[in-house]
Amino acid sequence: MTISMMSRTTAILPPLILAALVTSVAAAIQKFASPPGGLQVPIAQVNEGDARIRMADRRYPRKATDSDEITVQIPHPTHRIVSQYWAIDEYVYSVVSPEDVVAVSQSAYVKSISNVYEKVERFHPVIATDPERVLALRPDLMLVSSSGRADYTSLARSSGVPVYRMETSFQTLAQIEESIRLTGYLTGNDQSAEQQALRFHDAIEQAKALRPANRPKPRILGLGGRYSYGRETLFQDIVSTLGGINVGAELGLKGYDAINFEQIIRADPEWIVAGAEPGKVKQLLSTLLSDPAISLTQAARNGHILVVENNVFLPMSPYTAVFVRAIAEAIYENSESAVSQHG
Amino acid sequence: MADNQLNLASSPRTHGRKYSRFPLPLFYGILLPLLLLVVLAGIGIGSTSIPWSIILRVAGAKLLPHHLTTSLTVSRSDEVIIWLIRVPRVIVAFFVGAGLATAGVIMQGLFRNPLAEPGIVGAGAGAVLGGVIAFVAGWSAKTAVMLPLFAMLGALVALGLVYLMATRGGITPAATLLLSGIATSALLGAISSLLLSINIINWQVAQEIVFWMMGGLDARSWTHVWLCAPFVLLGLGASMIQTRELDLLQLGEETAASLGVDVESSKRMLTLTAAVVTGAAIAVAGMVGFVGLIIPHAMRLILGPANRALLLASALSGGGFLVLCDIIARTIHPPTEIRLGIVTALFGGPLFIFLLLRQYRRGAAE
Amino acid sequence: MTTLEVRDVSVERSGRMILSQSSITTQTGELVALVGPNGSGKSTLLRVMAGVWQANAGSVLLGGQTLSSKSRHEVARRIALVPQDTHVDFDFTVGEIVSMGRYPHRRRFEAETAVDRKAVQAAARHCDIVDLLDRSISTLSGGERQRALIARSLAVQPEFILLDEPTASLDIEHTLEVMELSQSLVSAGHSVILATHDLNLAFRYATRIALLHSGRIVSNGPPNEVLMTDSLDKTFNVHAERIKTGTDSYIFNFFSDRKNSRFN
Repeated sequence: MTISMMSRTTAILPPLILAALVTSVAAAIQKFASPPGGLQVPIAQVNEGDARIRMADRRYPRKATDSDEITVQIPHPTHRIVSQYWAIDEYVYSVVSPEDVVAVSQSAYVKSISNVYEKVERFHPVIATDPERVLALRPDLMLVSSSGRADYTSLARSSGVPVYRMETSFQTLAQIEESIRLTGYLTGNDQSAEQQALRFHDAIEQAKALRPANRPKPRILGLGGRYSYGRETLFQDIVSTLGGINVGAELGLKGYDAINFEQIIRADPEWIVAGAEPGKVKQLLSTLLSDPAISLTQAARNGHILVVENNVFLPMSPYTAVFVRAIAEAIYENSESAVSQHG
Repeated sequence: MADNQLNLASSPRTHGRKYSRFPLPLFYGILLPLLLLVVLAGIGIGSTSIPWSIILRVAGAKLLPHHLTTSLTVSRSDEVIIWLIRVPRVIVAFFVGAGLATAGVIMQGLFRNPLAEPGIVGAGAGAVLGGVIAFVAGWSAKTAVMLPLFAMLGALVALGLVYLMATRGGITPAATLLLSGIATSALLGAISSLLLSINIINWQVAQEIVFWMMGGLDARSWTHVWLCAPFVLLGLGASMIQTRELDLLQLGEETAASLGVDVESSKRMLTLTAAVVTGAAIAVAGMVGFVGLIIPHAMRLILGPANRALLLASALSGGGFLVLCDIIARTIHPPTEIRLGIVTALFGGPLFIFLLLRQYRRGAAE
Repeated sequence: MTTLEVRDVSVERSGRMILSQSSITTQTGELVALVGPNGSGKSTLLRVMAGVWQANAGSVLLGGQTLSSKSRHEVARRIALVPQDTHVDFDFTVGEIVSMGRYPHRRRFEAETAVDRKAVQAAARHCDIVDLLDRSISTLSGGERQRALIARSLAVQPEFILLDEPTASLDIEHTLEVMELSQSLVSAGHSVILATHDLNLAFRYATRIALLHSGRIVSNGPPNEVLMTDSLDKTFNVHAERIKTGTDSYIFNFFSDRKNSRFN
């Protein structure tokens, strides 16, 4: 008797364990989900000024501490640079002379999202996905993303090339500015980087200045499909820098998270900012206008929907300045149903 | 003895065909050189062309004692490409193939079914889920060991659950084990898909998961060799020790028991071995299918079903087969690599259908 | 002369008593037939006697000592079982399968010895399958296959050979073949215990019959005494007729119980 009772209990156990597994996994996902800009790593926050702290003195050999807490030594100014991530491509090309870039990410060659397309088409750097090809180029610096594949990174490190893991998910414009300087430090292009950082800073200030005094804070919703940008995202920082209210944060979203029908209607944003593939901007605009939830908002009724091309929309690199400018112009200069065509 | 002999004529219905098998020495005489050839091809072929003189120099510098090779000069990048990229990749391919084939032999023997394959008791789905969890939680980005570790853990946990569900009173009937395995695989697969769908917006992670699930040996290093090879070797060794039990189990569990086999203990040992090996293989290569199904089958056709010969032959052929598939995956459309699982499926799929039809025709004839 | 004794054995599975307090003693030199309706416990009794299943209560004694006191291999060397399910999915040769019977005689890494080979040959000769040794088992006819499997059990050189429904799927010619083979095994000094549905076969070939019903051994003794019409009626829930034949034997004929018939 007891044997069969016990065996019945043991029969229930595995499904219970499985149920517990599913629940704990789901809970873990909720906890780790929706980081800014679509990267799923629970990394330590990169605070303002951190990059500078991680840069030591400017004499060679230079040292810098990367996101893995590894101190990377760079023996001399670099002229054969490998970038393994799309955002890093943009940093590198804004600071380094293009002949010095020997490998880039796959995305650099994708016209619809790349801000460096013309440069790569002209100089033809190798695509950095193949470690063999990359190492055959004898690079003197490799910049990889903090969320990139660990096996790729360890392979590169064991080859003796300085490999620096850069933070690539940012939450503030100040972090981007610091990263411009960091790129300069790592590659030995300090002056160029300083110029770019200042240019970036000025562009943001100019965009900020477009806001008329006493203008009530515009309520802006950032939209990526059925997802929006809550607090602790770069979008949040951009909106608050421009003197607006980020509707995503207002709705309680943290990071990049899903948003539904009801939330959009309830929030009733004044402005909606979205990204589209090049050439598909008008199409997305009309899709948004005919969306059942969006069409009911103030933004739709007043034609206050800004659709920009994807490579402008939140690149998280120096090119973010273009995006900030586009938003500021649309909102504060009252351009007609702003559809931005520049990429 | 003669008095007790019955004089019974052979039934006129029987066929007179004598059953002949490929002689083992000849088989190895053909296989081993082919294996060597394939391995050399794997090292010699890559996305950058490196002449064999340099390859040999690197091999010499690495393998021969130091004082003999001080005169050899190899550039750092050549050394890295050959020794840190190509050689480990080929070795990992070999061990993954060998492991999957070994697990396939065990599973097919244990379940007395030529259509069984390594992941059938849930270990495969468990390993995949483990890997997906590592990706999604971001741990795989931290160090190279995390992903394989989680995959292995996943395989073992899945096996444990399957076994727990299928065991009553200390006995695990093979049919129940199979059904539990299939059900668990389905459930764990669903969880993996769920996790993937939740993270689909994080396109980088989603892409990595999907690619990993399709199988691939890109960026394999010596770390992966050490993560995979010991388990495969252990597993092969453990199963070689159990070849007679495996043979006897093919006569049926009761017959095996009456011949002195500790059936439950052997089943546990064999499923654990298969799960560990499968877990290790998936851990370093993602989901590579069909190797564990096709290779044992092919070897059985050539060498017969006796497991002593079958296991080693399958392991070696499986290893060579996967090295070959990896070469194809790398070279068919440079510079992009086709996912390894796709190549094995393209080979294995038609072969599998052919075997299925053959099985069906034979079954219809009986 | 060895005795295999089942003493007060009970077997329970999934809450059901499959065998309860059954006792039977067999000795080498006997051909014992276990008969009874489906579910009466014939297969279970055979499995328990072979040591393949553990009884929940009672014990099985081989030569006076319990099976549990002996090593697995020792039991395997002395008692061989050919179960009902004999399908082999892979193309083993007959020779390979018969050789598997030598497993209990060898240690793990021991290779095949001359003794093993002789035993295999002897078993093959006895069962008349020598010319089938190189054939794949899947190409054999039903009768040939059954002889091959019996040869496998014979290669063990056991004292007791247990056969579970050996003639169930065979035609008449091969059924008689197998029964005559079983008799020859008894003449050669083994004891054969077989479970069968066929009462006429049991009557003709067995030296002793045990009649089982609902997990109990209802009667046990010479065929003449056990297969009485009244016990058959009760056990099989039919109306049994025992008819004397010209060769001074009996055959059995069965009718359904007219009074309780479901049809008509």
